[in-house]
Amino acid sequence: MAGFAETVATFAADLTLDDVPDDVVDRARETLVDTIGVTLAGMSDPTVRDLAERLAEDSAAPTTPLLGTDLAADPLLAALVHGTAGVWHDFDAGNRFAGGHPAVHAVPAAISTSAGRAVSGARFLEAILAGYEVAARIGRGTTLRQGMHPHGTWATVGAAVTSALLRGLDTDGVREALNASTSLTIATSWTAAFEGATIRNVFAGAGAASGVLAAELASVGFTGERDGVATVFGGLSGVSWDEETALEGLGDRWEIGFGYTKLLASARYLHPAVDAVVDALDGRSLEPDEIEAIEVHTFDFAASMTEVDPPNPLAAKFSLPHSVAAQIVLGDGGIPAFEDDALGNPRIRDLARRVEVAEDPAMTDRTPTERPASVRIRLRDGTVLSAERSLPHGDADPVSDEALRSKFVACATRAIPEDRAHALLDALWDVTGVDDVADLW
Amino acid sequence: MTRTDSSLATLAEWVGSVDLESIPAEALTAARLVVLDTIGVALGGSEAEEVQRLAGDLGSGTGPATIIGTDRRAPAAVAALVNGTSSTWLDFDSGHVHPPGTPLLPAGHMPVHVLPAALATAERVGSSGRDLLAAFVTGYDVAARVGVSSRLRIDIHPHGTYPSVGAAAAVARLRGLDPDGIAAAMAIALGLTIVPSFENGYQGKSVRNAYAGHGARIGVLATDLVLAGVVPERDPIGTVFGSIVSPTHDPELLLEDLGTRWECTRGYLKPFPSVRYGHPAIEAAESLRDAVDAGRIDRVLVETYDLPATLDERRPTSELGAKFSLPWAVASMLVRGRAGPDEFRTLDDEAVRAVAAVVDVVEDPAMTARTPGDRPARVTVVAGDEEATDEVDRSAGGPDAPMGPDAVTTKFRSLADRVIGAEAAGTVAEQVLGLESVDDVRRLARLLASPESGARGLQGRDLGDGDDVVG
Repeated sequence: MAGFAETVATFAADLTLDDVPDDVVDRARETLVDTIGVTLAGMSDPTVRDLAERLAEDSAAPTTPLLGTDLAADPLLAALVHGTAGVWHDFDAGNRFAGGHPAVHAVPAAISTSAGRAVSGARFLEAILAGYEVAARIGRGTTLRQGMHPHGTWATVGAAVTSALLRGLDTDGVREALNASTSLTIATSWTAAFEGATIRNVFAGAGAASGVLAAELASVGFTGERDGVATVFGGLSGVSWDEETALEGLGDRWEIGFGYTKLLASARYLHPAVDAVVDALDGRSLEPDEIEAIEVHTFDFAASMTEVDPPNPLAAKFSLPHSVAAQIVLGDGGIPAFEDDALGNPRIRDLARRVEVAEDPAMTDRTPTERPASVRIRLRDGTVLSAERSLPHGDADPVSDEALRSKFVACATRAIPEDRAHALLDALWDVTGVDDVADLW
Repeated sequence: MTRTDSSLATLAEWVGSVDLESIPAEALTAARLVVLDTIGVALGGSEAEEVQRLAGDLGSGTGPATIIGTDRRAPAAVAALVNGTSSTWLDFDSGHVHPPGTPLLPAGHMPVHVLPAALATAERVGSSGRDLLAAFVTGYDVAARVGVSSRLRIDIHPHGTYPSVGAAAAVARLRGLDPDGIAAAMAIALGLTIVPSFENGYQGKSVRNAYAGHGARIGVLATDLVLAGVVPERDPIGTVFGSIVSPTHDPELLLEDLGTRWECTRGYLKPFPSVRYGHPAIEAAESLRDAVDAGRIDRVLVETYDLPATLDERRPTSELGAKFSLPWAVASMLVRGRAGPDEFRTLDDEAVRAVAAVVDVVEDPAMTARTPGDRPARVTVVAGDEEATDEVDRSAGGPDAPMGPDAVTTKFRSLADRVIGAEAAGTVAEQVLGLESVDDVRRLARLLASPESGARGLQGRDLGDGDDVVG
């Protein structure tokens, strides 16, 4: 029987959109739209912009446009920048069952590799979908070592598949790129995220770049480890690898259909609690002074995110007290809720101290099928507003077209003018009709 | 800015403050020799078609940095990637011996990370030989320290892991970052450590040769990331090397004898282009090559300690696989009288294949018990009723029996002359052995280009064009 790499490389090389159910193509398209939107938002950050300018200047063959700028960089550096930008606001699409973010690795690899190759929108989407599926399946089969962050790990392998396909490599070439990429994945540390250290965002960028590099290496004749996925994810950065689970339903079950779209620019684990706050408020607007305390019960990992005074925007995205307080004070959980103004807002800081977080072991037992949270907002007048969520919004209940479109525009206009944002949105919305994706950027 | 962990800050402070006068002559001598050796093996490795194609794809006609052994130039990050890859290609490059009293672990190869990153950066900023040498010595030192104070998981290949932090330190120093900036660059490189599998070597898969290049590239990019404002994790040694790729880390060993024990003096230079722990057996075979008629060999027994006893593949199918095969290396020595780059490059010598097929490699537990002080091997050759045996306690080239300038120069010339010509190779050897006198590294580096390599005409397969396009 063919091994994992052979099986998924064949699947990826044979994949055509004609054979993919319409609802899956729609989901892939929406995931692409969302990923481009959050990438543009990231490109507007001063650090990312500075990095883009430095690396553009340092590119030997600046063939790849850097989104939201007039700059271009070589394909490896462009993938580094786009992947980093894509996760900068922690607003990018993920996959709960895979346990990570396949799209924000595959899409930068696709942008880099399509540059100068006259790739159609359909082929672009096909290659991204193939990379997503392979990555998400590796994620399903992998248990990462404790203390590791998923960005830049198995999703890198998906980026390698996407890039290899867009280079026109055949099944053998895709397999070698996939095998080569496994040893170029990163030994990521979760502590970086908790500290708010923005190197955490570079994990995704460096991972996407490693994927592009692996495809480059395969194309010039380098070979990769047979069964590298099992070695690396079953014993090096992962502690166990389950090939059977990873391959279950390949070609019938589409992992991208299990993905989620974020409507809050923060760690996904916190969203059930914040959504429960929104449900509990039920349209009511509260002044912080009216609130005595907010009790949050949730599953273990979310309940560990208890920093009351996060030191910077990234750390705020991993703080339940801040996320809940900002939602109540600002009435929104988008990018601004985690920027410096929000961090310095005394009303948010004050309310964050009254957010009481506790793990409910019964809720922990319900993960990962569910990610539950309950909230009780106790008002000083004795009223209690409460609600419970088993999953956050945008998961089992996909976001509406309208919500997705308005999120895209809000993100994109941080980097490009509104008319261009709308034009890009319309083009991406119908990406399978695009002749050459280079015309999009 | 005191974000980084105090140990890391101490190392960075040291990297930033060491000047050439405070480095003992012994360390400078070792450093110059290993720099020359590394350039030599990079030139040798650049002959690989894959390396020429990679340079053809990623390089261009212009750019601040030389892609060694090719006609291409590139930005520093690209040159570091390709030069790091070519310098590991032959498996002929220098590794580092762990200090006495620490467990035997695969050696870290600092030079193939630190030198490609530092050389490309020196070309970029126009450094002097003095600056390059000091950056190399300090970068080597801090990376080796992360290695010896960790216990890298045994299935993880060291290339692309802790040696990258030395590349980052050297680059940050050459680019003039202050100690906080050097610390941040080191922390960023530590945070982007990859998880390379050792198994690739045994399988002979050439992505293994890209690990060091990737690490050198990360070392270059770390300074760019710092200057852009990316914030590293506070203590990535503690997390990445104290839990993820290494289960434990000893902060005391990290800083032990900093500034008095010079890690670049604890390296070995390889006499054979193959896995280091196989060298004792190859040396034993070397002394037996005239003892028996190779055509009559019935059986060869290699007894050695535990690590090399795993190098038992009798029929390697790739260049890298042959370097991980003791039967191949021993048979080459017995049949051809040599085990140099050419012996591993082509695997179609029937006489070598025939002898390799009768080589048994076994562990002798008594030899394992003598490690790490000794690294013994015993080779017994049986031909009819003749039998000859030789035993080696430790291979040459290590800190206790270092290769001198003549031996290093001979090795360098054997690799360099055929790529850049004897005249340029002679000049390079002379200048590197007197590196402090070089005013501008850019002129030296220009000598490492090979105008005839034709990388410009080579490119990867692309867009369904499955055929080779080598012309």
